[in-house]
Amino acid sequence: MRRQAHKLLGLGLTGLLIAIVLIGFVWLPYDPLAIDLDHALAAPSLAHWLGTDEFGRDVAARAMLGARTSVLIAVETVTAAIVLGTMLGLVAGFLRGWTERVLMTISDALLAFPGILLALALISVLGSGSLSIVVALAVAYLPATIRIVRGSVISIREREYVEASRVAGDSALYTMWKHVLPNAMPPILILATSLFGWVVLSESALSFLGVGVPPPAPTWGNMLSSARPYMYTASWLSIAPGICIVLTLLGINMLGDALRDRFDPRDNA
Amino acid sequence: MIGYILRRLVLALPTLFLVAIMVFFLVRLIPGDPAQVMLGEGATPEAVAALHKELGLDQPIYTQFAIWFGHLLRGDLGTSISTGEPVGRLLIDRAQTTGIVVLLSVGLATLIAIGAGMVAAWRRGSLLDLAVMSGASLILAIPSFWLGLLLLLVFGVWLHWLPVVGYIPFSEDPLGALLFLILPIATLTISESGVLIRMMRSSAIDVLRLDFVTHARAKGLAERTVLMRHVFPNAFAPTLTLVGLTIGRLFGGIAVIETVFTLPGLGRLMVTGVLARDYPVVQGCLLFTALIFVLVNLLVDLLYPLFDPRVTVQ
Repeated sequence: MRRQAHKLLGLGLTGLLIAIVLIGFVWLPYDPLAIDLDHALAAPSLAHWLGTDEFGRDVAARAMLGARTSVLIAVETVTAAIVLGTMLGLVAGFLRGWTERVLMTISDALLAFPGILLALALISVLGSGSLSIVVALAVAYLPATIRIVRGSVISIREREYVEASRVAGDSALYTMWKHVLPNAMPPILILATSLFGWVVLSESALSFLGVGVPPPAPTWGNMLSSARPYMYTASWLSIAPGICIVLTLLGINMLGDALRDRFDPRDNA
Repeated sequence: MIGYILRRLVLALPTLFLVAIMVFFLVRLIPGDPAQVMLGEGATPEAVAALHKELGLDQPIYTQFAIWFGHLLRGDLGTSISTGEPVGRLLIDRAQTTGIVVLLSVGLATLIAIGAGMVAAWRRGSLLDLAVMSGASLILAIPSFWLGLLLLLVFGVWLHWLPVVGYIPFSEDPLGALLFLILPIATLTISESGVLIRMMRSSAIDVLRLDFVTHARAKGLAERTVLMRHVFPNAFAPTLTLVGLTIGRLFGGIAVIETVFTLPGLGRLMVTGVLARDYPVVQGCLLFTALIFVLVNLLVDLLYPLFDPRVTVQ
């Protein structure tokens, strides 16, 4: 019962996020970049549901555009990390031997850096901007992805159907693609969901630090960052973007938990 | 025991060496002349030439690495381009603030996790369990920097209980410093307790199912004794591992918290380094964090046998 409610809430929140992003393509309450100094720092009202910021820009419109940016960056980053991580993890776990040792040594060394620090370091080299964030975060989350995929591949490669494929003379590539990968999909899917949440969180943190998506383009993180000087006069600026992040993460995390329950029936007591 | 520590340290050396190689090549990834990049646009040709010589940029890349690595082994991390201070001293200064915040927060979060996680596991399925788990899930969805902003808004701006901006070094006035550190520590404690509570609860649930718990209860031991003497020691090991990983991660990763509360910590140093393209500082922060990470995890492995007698240090 509770699990069901959990799943529905997760689906609902994630659906809401997607809906907001899609609606944002055809309709926004205001131009999110239009400066209107006469109405700067206006409190939430009927005209501006979430108020306006220090340049008189509509916070609701900016939050909607910010949702698009966050979701796009997260989708690109997760796709890159999962595709690359799955390939490398598959190769490491299936071939084992030297390939595995080299790949795992490198990814272990990368794991010695906290993800956000590694991303910061890469951004210091790549410069800031959406593409740098995608590359930096994808690399930062790659080692964990490789490790998890390799972990499940190692147990799958010992199963009889893989053995059978090998004995039948299939090439390693064919066996990996046809027999190992499909069976490794559930954990990869769960990982992708968790990654999505982490990336949304990391991207907003980077933007908050001023090394993410540069203004005037709005993201939840840089909106919070520019709200910092107006805590005394316009506290709503510090609240709305944060709620957006929390609802997004709640939805994704609940969806992830539901997926985990579905694929891992062990703990169904 | 000492032999084991030494062996583990030796085993960590290849990882640290690889980390050093990565940190070295990171700066070489930047297009253009590293000396020019490091000194910035306004550098004089003489300064660039001098740095060229110092870094050995006219030599082959492996010689450059050898020069850099040699400096590193002698504890010389170079000097900051923007402030001219030795990076080593900057790191040690900044690590104190970060260290105090991280250790106190993770310590408190661990205590909370043990209490909440054990009780939730013990009364699994009850309303209390539901409350604890919902709280933990909510915490997991709240970005730490936003939680910090909210606490600042409530306790600093609205209630005026605590200072909003500023910092007093711990060495000058410990009590005054604590006043500035209450909110950052509270923020981080709450933020980090979410995962730890979930971990503690799930391992306590696993242990509660085991026969020796039933046996302890059948002996007529009080529930409190069963929980503290039998369940806790056997359920704590996974949480301890997570605590170690958390400390390692936070040492380099609380830049956002330090930004919210304007604390002069390691993360802030790294971010200003990135923004100013101060590469010796960026490299120093990376190396230092990786070293801490490896050492903390070693410490956790050494503590492991205390909580899981099946693991022996040999």
